[in-house]
Order: sequence, then structure tokens, then C-alpha cells
Amino acid sequence: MEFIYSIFEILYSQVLTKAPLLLGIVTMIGYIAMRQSADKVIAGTIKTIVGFMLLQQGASLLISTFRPILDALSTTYGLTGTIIDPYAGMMATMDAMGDAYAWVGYTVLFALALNLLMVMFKRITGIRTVMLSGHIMFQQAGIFAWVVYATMGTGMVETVILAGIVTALYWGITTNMVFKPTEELTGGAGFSIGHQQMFGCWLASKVAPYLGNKDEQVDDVEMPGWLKIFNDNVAATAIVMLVFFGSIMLALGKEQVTQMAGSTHWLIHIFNTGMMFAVCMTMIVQGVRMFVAELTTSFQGISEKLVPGAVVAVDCAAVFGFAPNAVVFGFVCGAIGMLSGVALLIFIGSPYLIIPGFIPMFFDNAVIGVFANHFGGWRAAWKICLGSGLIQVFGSAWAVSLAGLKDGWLGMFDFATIVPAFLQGMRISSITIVLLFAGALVYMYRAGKALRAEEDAEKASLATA
Amino acid sequence: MVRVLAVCGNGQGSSMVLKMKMGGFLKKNNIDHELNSCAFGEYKSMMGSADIIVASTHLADDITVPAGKHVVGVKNLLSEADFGPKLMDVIQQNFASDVR
Repeated sequence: MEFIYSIFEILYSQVLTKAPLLLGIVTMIGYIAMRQSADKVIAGTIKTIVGFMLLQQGASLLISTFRPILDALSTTYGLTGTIIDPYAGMMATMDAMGDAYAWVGYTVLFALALNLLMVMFKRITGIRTVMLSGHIMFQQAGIFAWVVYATMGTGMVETVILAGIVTALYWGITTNMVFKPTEELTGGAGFSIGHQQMFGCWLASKVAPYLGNKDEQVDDVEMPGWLKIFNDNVAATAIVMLVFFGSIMLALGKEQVTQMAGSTHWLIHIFNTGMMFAVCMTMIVQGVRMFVAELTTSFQGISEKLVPGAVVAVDCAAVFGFAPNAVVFGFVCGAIGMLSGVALLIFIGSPYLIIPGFIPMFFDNAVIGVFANHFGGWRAAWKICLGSGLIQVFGSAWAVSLAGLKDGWLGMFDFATIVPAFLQGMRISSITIVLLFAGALVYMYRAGKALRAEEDAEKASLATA
Repeated sequence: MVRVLAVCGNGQGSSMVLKMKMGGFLKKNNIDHELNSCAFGEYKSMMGSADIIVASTHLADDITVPAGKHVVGVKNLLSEADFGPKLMDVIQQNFASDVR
């Protein structure tokens, strides 16, 4: 009996609570359920584990490279510097949760199950979209698990259940909200956005008609060709980080940087630091890609088997092909907004300094630009993207002041608006979570009613045809 | 075997979805294939093991390939009706032996 117990104990404490092994097992079960051949099961399982370990190494390298600089910033100027980037946010969550990070794995699975349930009962819930962007699902579930864990001090089961419900509601409701605008934008392509700014895109589609003219599209605006360098994520990350960390290190002064640099010349050290960010990012992205490639395939398989008619919500880059010019235009306006935001933060003497990452700067503003352009032309797009850039910076500073994750924050539009609002509520009282559920029920009641009316009308028109 | 590479900005989201959609399509059309996905910044290093690169139109214009390899630009990454005919054209003209 004791023998069986000790096996269970080892399984629990050494395997099921360690994220890489847990996810390896999930992939294995998924592949076996999909009746894949033995070699695929084994290779997929190993790649999931190796990918996650690579991600962990990249994250710890990122911390060891940049924490000394952020610490120096704090001691010299009394500023809390935070990188806003989904992967930096993921790193900060992993660092803050330690071994409890395995809970995030369970949260993702539970939230996906709930999202699928919502779609199964879409005539009641009104929700027809299912989130299937694996890399993002981990980043977001991690943030929500951390918020519940840190503000309510809950154990594993309660954290997974509460964070899972919050995550699933965010996925289900926001991807559903943005489905109709995406359909209009893509001419009925049959998918929705499942990224980090669905609320932002929905908002842009509603506000844009008042700020511009739909007929004056961005396509009429000439874009400079050198901007194409930002298509390359490695080059773009290195450039953006060289600018921000270069400025911070210059502000720290030659003496401090020389001390950090060791035998390297201080100017070369600044350059190397910018490049180093791209190194860490490449490691993290490669690691995430390895385990997510396996998981996304099995998520897709599960979703198609359980809910065949579900609308998939995918990465925002899926709409970039519909308005390539608006992508660049939105990015440029958003970047100007973010830079002005950072300058304003310094000017007003905020204790929080936001260091914008390339991903929020590019992907967020680009997709918001695509929506704004479609519904209000370039006049609406520049206003909205400039605004979204400012919001990303100020909203993230708001979130950082509440979240207790000081090195990194997700920083994408929804995580600079609705998520800090939720955090603020949670800080005031845990009742916020009840209010959130009540709000979700109201949304579902209305969406369900609309969906039933739509489906019945469709049926009726088929019957008469 | 025809080797297809799906490319997107970060190599994380849409290229993965495109890869899965193309997998289903190529299988249905009985084409002997191998699929991969990567970021725009990596396509040059992945090109050695690819015959056709498929990417969103906003990136496809900036992808250059040596002779014998092909680029297909797609507007809707999730629609067979969009990438399907374009991909089949290239395959039938250049890789006819892989159609079973």
C-alpha cells in the first residue's frame, strides 16, 4: 500500500506539478486519442518537453540579462522599469509563480474545455467561437492564474477553477464580439480573431465610423519602403530594444555601464544588450513554437471532434492579408503613440517606466489599424492607432502598479484596458469576480437571443426557398 | 514529395493555422507532401528544405526564392478556396509527379 502511495506521490510532486512533463503527458494523451502512430506520439511528446525547457532557459536568460539594468534604473532614478511584451509577461509570470506555474497548464485545459462547452450550447450562450491560438492561451491563462493566486491566495484547485472560468469567459466573449466585424472585414471568411486585442478591434470597428470616412482607405497613402525591415521579427526586436535599453543605459551613465560591461567597451556593451534581447526572444519563441505546434494540433483535433461547427478564433495576423497597407500604417501610428506615451510618463514623473516591446507595438496596432481603416478609412486609423499606442503604455503602467509583476507585462490592448480594470476591481474586493460572472451572463443572454433569432431566420428562409 | 513552407510574421499563430489547413487540403487531393512553418525572418534558412513558400500577401511580395522554388501569396489564410487553386496550379505545373 505504501509502495503505491509513494509512486503516486512521486508522480504528483515530480511530474504533474512540473509544467514541461505535464504538458508532455497532455500531448501524449491527445495524440493517442487521435490514434497517431507510435513514432509521432513519442516525437511529439519529447518536442513538447524540450520546447518548454527551451522556453524556461530563454526566460531565465532574459531575466539575468535585463534585471541588473532595471535594478540600476530603480536605484539610480527610483523608477520601476517594466518591459511590455507577451513573452516578457510570460517570463514574469513563470518567475513569480515558481513551481506553481504548472497550474497554468491545467488552467489552459480547463478554460479550453469551458470554451468548447459554451460553443456546444451556443443557442443558450450565444457563443460560437473557440480560441485556438496555443501560444497566446498560455500567456493569458498565466496572467489570470497569477491574478487569482496573488490577490485571493487560493490553492491549486480553486486557482485553476476560478482562473479557468475567467480565462474562458475572456476567450469566449471577446472572440465572439469581434466575429461579426471580422466577417465584414474579410468578406465572410468564416473565422474570428483570437489574440490579445479583440476588445480593441471591436471598439475600433464601433468608433471608426465617427472618426473618418470609410471610402478614404489607407491604400491611397504612400508608405516608405524601408519600413519593410520591421517584417523581420528578429531585426525588429533588436532595433526596438536597442533604442529603449540603449536610452536607459545612456541615462545610467558611462560609469555604471562600464561596471556592468566588465572587459567589454561600454558602447559595445550597450549594442550587445540590444542584440541579447533578440537572442532571448528567439529562444523563447522557438521553445513556445515547439510545444505549441504539438498542442495546437491536438486542440484543433479535439475541437473538430467535439464541436464540428465551431468558428475558430486565430492569431490576428490572419487578417493582415486583407489590408497590407493598413498593417504598416497602424504600426507606425501606434509606435508614435507608444513613444509619446513613454515620454509623457517620464515628463509627469511617473514612478513606473514602460519599455515597449515590439510585439504590442507591431501586432496590436497593426490589427487595430486594419479594423479602424476598414470601418473609417485612414483618418480614423491614425487617430485610433495613436490612441491605442498611448493606451498600451498608460494602461500597462496602471496594470503594473496593481499586478505585482515588475519585470514584464503582456501590454497588448486588452491587457492595458479591461484586464487592469478587472485587477483594480479585484484589489478593491473579490466580489468583482462575481460581478464579472454576472456581466458575462447578461452578455450571453443577449447574444444567445440574437443567435437564436439569426438561426431561426436562416432556417425559415431555407424552408421558403 | 513536394515540400511546402507556411510563413507568417512571428511564425507562431497564422502560419501554424495555414499549415494545418493546407495539410487537410493536400491530403484530400492526394498529394505527396511535407509541411513546415516558420517566421518571415527565418524563411531563408528554411528554404533549403522547401519547394513552395506560402504566405500572406503582405509578406509574399518581399519573399525572394531561387529558380525552381515558388512563392504563393494568400489573402485568406484559412480558406481553401483562396490558397487551394493557387497551390494546385504551382503543383500541377512543377510537381506533377507528386499528384497520386
